[in-house]
Amino acid sequence: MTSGPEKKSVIMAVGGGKGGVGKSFVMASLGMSLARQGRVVMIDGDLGGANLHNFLGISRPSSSLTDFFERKVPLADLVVDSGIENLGLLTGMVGTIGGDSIKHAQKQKLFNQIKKLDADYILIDLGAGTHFNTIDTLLLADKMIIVITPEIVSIENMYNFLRNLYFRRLGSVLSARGHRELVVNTWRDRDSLGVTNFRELVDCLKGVSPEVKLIIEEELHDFAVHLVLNKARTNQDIMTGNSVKSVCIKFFGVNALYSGYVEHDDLVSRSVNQRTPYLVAYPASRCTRGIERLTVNILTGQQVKVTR
Amino acid sequence: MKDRTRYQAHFAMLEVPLESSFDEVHKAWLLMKEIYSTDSLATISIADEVSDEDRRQLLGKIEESYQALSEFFREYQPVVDTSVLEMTSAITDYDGNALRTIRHLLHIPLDDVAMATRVPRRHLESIESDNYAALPVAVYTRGFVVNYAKHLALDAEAVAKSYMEKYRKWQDGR
Repeated sequence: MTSGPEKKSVIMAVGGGKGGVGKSFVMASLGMSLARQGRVVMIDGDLGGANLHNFLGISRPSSSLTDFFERKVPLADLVVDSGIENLGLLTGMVGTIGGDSIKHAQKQKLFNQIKKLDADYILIDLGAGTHFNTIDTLLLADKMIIVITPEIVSIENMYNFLRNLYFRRLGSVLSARGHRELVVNTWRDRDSLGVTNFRELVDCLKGVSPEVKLIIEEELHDFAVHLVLNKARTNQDIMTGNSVKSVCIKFFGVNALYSGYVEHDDLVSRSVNQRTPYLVAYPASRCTRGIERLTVNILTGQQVKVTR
Repeated sequence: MKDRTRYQAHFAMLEVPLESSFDEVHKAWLLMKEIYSTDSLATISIADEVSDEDRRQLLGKIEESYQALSEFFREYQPVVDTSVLEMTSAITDYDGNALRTIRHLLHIPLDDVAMATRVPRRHLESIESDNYAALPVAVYTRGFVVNYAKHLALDAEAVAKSYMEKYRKWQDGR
């Protein structure tokens, strides 16, 4: 089941601060769209509240990540058929152990086995919140996707999530190159250092020494997030994605790409209840077209063209 | 392309690729101004990072970059020849083709017309190709033609009169 050394899967993970913005819907639809081009394995990494299977129109699979953690079953053996061609599903766990109780070694083993799965695309759907296990899994991905909706609560959460994400990457990069604790200590001493926000923290770190500046520039220049705006109802909503992207670039120094928007459709929840994947039930809807454009954009690095 | 690398920071400030046209730069500038000069969902949620002063400074930088790029494009863009204006004034019979020719002579992209006049691009295309069937009813089409003609600095009434004669002839022949 493991792939040859020459083959590398593209890992995509979706996160985002707030629950209910449509992460699982976007991810399930993206997975179905990608399955037309290659083998896809979707991992429901929402440890504690797995529900990705609902968006694929199937019942909860009997095997899950619980078997990996508790019964040491190899990850590849837990992938089940989703009923959609080329699309395998590895479901999370509900009500057994939460994300908190996973030990570091287990996490590393999980990550290693994820990378070895036999697939062209591996999609990981993550739960809401900024738990460090969520953040670490997102950082594992080649393409980090963040879903937002055009609402203040979602956007504020997203900025906070992005801060956490960048902060964690910054910390691990600097630790790995001999500056353990530098980020945490700088943040702890922020009052005396005159650091009041994220941008000033990064500037302050760059000022520590030319070496640290170089590390940050070398290791984080390719740090990029793909923004997806879900539940768009108006042109103004679609524009919001562009504004958020601009703020990420200008005030976080993060390379953000506005990869796509998905229009709001009341039929999404109906298709879930009817146990038919939305893309199958409504293959020609505007929302489906949005998903298809998003798929192309994420693969090619293209972005939404804002027309006014 | 080589010259453009000197302007890299300005292109980056407006968040457009290095190979962008002036039209794209212009649009990006309008967009940036809109994002940072008003309170939007995107900027309200980040009040802890971005003070009003930050925004004011940023708007200054955006303006600076736009000015620098405007100058850059002015150097590389063909200057409008006054003889073109004489040529256009010689035209009295306006069909779609005439309008398109004048627009090309003035180096005005169709997207610019669409943006400035708020007439959807597809209608402008239909006007230029005399595709009457794709155009809306006469009263709307006339309005579009007037706006388009104004943007090309033509005598809008004369253009509309001439264009609509052909439109009506087509309509009557249906």
